[in-house]
Amino acid sequence: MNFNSAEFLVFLPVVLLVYSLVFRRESPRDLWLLAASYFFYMSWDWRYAGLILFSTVIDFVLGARMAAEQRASRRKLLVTMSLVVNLGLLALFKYFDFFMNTTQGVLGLFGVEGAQLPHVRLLLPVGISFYTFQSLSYTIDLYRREIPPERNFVKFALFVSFFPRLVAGPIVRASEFLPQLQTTPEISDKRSVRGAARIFRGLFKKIVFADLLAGFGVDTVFADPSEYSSATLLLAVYGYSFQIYNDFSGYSDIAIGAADMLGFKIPENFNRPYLSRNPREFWTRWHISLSTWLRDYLYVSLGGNRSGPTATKRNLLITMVLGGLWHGAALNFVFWGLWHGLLLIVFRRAAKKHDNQSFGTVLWQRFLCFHLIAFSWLLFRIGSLDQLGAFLSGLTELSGGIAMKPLYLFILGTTATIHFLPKATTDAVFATFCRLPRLIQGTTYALLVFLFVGLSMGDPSFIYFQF
Amino acid sequence: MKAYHIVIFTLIVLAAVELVLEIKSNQAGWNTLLFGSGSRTTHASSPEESVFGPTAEFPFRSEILASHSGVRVWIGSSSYGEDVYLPAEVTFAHVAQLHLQERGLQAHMLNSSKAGWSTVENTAALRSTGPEWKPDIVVLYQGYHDVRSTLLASTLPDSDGPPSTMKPASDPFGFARAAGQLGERTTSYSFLKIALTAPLRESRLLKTSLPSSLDADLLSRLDDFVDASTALGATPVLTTFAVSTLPGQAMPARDRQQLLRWNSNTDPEAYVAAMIELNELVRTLGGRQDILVIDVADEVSGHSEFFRDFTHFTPEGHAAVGQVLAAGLAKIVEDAHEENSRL
Repeated sequence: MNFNSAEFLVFLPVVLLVYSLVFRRESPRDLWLLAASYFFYMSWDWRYAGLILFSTVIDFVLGARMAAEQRASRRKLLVTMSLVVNLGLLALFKYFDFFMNTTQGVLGLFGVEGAQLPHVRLLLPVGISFYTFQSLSYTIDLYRREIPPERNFVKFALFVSFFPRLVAGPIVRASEFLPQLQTTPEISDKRSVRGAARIFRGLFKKIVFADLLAGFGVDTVFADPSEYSSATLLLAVYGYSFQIYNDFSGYSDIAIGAADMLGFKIPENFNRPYLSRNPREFWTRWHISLSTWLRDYLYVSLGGNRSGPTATKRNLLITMVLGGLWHGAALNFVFWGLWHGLLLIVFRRAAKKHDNQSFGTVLWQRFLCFHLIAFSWLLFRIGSLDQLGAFLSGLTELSGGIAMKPLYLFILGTTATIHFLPKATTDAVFATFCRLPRLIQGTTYALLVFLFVGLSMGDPSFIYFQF
Repeated sequence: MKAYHIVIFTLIVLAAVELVLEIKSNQAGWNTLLFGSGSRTTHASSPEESVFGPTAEFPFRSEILASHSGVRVWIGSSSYGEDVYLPAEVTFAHVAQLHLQERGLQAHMLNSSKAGWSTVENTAALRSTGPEWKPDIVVLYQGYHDVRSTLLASTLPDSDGPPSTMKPASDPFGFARAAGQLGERTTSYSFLKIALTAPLRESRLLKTSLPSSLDADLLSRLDDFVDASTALGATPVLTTFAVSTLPGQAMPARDRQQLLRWNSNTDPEAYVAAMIELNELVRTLGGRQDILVIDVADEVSGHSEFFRDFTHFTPEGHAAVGQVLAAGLAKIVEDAHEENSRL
């Protein structure tokens, strides 16, 4: 069930209606949210509900055993089991065929032709990367003795499957979410007004900005880059940079808004990332829940920056390449991760010298950083090395002529302007809207629903659903 | 409940707008979700007393066979041949039958056209139900849907994009389907799709050239259709496909919007060019395999009075096409009649 679908327009009010009747009583509340979350997930494909349930049971049981165990070696064994099971499932469903294909290709390079390695050809369960990382945060934090074990299975299952952020994050850690399940959530007019505004802001980003940029130019240019001029290709890269931002941050907005309406707080996932002055800052503003997860559970576990400059660079590269692979089982995601790893290494020192710089310098830094990131999106979006070659060759021809229609440029300009506006300004507009009479807000939302229906004209999936 | 007033207000406004649009639409004669049929009913099914199909026993949108004599002419086409917005007696299949009868030729049309079908579906239908109805002649009037499906296959936005995500496969509760269908049956949905979606598609970066694989794909479809016809012992007849605009003419805004509503990746001029190319393929194939080709496009294309959009006919258009078909078919209907008489 997509957030931007007719069924979600029916699903969410029904969930809220029943929730408003049961939210004060703990068990019915938890059971209702759990049932709604599984229904939401099963509407994608009921077969994979068993998979999420399996991960949930395993981590719940291992967590309980770990909490009761004092011996360090046994605790390590239990957390290793959790890692093996969770990452094993992820590897099987997401990476097995990719590694087999890659190995087959490498064998071919060494003259071993016709090697037929086994393939599983499984459909990728939606959201598996997200809920796997969430569930792992529980067992790892438990192992590190940073959180107490959850004794109630329903609450734990709800933590893993909570529908607003189940399929594309933000990745919420056990330490952030489980405590919220121990108390009666506060649901109020203020929260639901704020949540609804956030949901519609997210839908607007997704349907008006992301989908129209894709439909009005990005998809067509990326499908056949050799047909277009350098200027058009550059505008397509800019367009994709804002498409993916609006698509993913729009999803996060909807998730945060829906959770807010239910009385739960989900951490922010984006903070105007294209205002970053260097790649390191970018990763504090883009997909914050993933970057902090990778930092705390992978980079730190690898040794972080504690073992000298060489080891730090190695750890950065490993973290970012694995972060790239987390997005998808394809070489372009490996290159994307590698590129970001290299950027983090190159700009590591520059990141520390940012105080008291002139406006011009700041502007230049932002311009440079945006273009380095935009190039990474080219790697992210591209389908093959041939396509990348055609794109780069077209870009470096420096040919003029813009194929896009004026509406594409208008949408790109509008979303960029909003992105670069001071946060205080956008926050003030948001707060002012939330203070309007409810009838005006409701009318605005109804009109927006009509606008969204009228504007939708392609594949409505969110880009991050595939990860 | 008080906490969710904002949700209730939104739903009330949505329902109110839909209600107003439904009342207005129903008064204008359209079918609506809440009020049902308006005066502008379609002719998708025939009343019980009608002499036209489709019925449970006679699955064709043409006059029900009264006897076993006469030459049976199967018509394979799409919405432009089925045309549920007009009575069956107005469609070109029946008009052609009347013209043939005026010439003293006993021909019965089996109009197997269905909205959305391309040559692929026409061929499949011919293979599955053809043996039961034993047509003597099989006529194909196709073009738009073949070009559209071939183009879509080559220009799907994600064809070169990132790996595909898991698609909803099972919908175990039928919830997504039901909600989607409910949404699409609202008057607001129809209104918005026409008023907003179609005009906006003009702003897309449209494909101005056709994929090089188009010719081979179309030829393979036509070959398959000819094979299916000859396997039944029927004589295949091909036709060229008519379009409302000739190359070099500006396509009227109404036709452009309608075309882009259903075919959102291709420039209307490229679509017209594709049809010209398809018609050349048909003529070449006909000449090479000695198959009769009726040049409908030559007589009808570019006559805006014959079209109600870029491809569907007005009653005058159906009459013109029916006349062209009858003239083209007369000789082989006569031959088939003599052949049947000898047997």
